[in-house]
Amino acid sequence: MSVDVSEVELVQGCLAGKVACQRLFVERFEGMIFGLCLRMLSRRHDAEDVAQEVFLRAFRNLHRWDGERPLRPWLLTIAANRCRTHLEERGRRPMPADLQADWLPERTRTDSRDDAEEIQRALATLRPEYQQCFVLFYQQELSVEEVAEILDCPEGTVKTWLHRARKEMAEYLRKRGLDPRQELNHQSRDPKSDLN
Amino acid sequence: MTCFDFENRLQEFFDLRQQELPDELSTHIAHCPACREMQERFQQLQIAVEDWRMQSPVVELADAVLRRLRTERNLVTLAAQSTSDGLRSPSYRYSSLTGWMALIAAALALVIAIGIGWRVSSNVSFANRQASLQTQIANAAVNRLEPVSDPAPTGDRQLDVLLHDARDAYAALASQAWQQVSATNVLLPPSDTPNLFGGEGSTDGVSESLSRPLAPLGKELRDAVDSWLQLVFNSQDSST
Ligand SMILES: [Zn+2]
Repeated sequence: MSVDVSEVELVQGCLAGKVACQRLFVERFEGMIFGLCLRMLSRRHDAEDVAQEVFLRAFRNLHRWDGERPLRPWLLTIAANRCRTHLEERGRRPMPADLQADWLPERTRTDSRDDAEEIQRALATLRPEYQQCFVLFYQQELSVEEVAEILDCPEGTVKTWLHRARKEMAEYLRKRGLDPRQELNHQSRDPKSDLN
Repeated sequence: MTCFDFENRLQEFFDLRQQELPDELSTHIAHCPACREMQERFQQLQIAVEDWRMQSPVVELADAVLRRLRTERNLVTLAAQSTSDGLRSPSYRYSSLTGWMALIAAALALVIAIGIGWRVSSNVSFANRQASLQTQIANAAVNRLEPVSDPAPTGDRQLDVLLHDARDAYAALASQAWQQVSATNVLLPPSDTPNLFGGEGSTDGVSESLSRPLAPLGKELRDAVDSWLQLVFNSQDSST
């Protein structure tokens, strides 16, 4: 089967029960779904469980998918809702330190892991709807309009949630002692060094 | 530009993913230390977020998802077979048999409850007759005897014990019957799948393909017994 098979063909194959299509479907979207789950849930094990659940639900509901619209936001809606439900079930208790950001790689010569870890910690302190909003906007790189569509709420609400999320996270970083001037100097010195 | 305006414009700058800080914002932070610090904090956050976003751990979910999908499909097939085969299916016969056993157990509970209820009312009549007789004796001897003790507490206590026993017996039997009714449906998964995107009907194919013929019957029977017992208890309470 061709890898660049269209979304409609892929869905038709899945609905016909073709295992190859189902496999391709998961492989095509697993990075996106898992990425979102991981950022929202922090723990790799939870993220894998919920991501699997998202695919199972997607397969059960594929007959409802509107072929005129792209699959990505449809899947992200399921994923965002599942993650939010999971977070609400988990409760708002703070996570033990040893369970935080277990998916991040070992510390490298740069301090990018520290930054990513701090962001993940800060994110975990937010309300589930702020987390959803933040992850969809920053990690999935969606526009405010797209986030609003996925979360089924007005754009103004998304802007408010994003603003509050940023504000709370910036405050968290301030309390954690991250110095903005140092960061900004570091960024202007070698903007790409963290990405290597 | 006020500091309030600055904050709003700054959020817009981030929402639109603009690269260069607009001149009016740069001008404001040039002479407003508070807003400059705020802008630096948000800028620092943006940088850290970029590091966070770039981390992309590898994952392979296909095998696990396909395995779960296969298991789910097998369950649906199995359930569909058992419903379509009807009485020919041994599992259905088993369900049917245990369902009848549950019904018999519930009926037994009803009979016992009626029996206990009858005994209670007989005892109440007996206690009332005793009380009445003792009251007559007491009235006749009122001038000669010490004041007699009120016989009612004996009757009340007896009634309490009997009612308590009746409730316990009913609860135990009803619970047993209910467990048997429920046990016939243990293989059915819960229908907890939310209805996504406003579509109609259940989104869970498994629960859609199955029915629970005994569960509603068990509930109706239980409700009927409950309401009947409530009537008995209420009438006993009001008669005392
Ligand atoms: Zn200002």
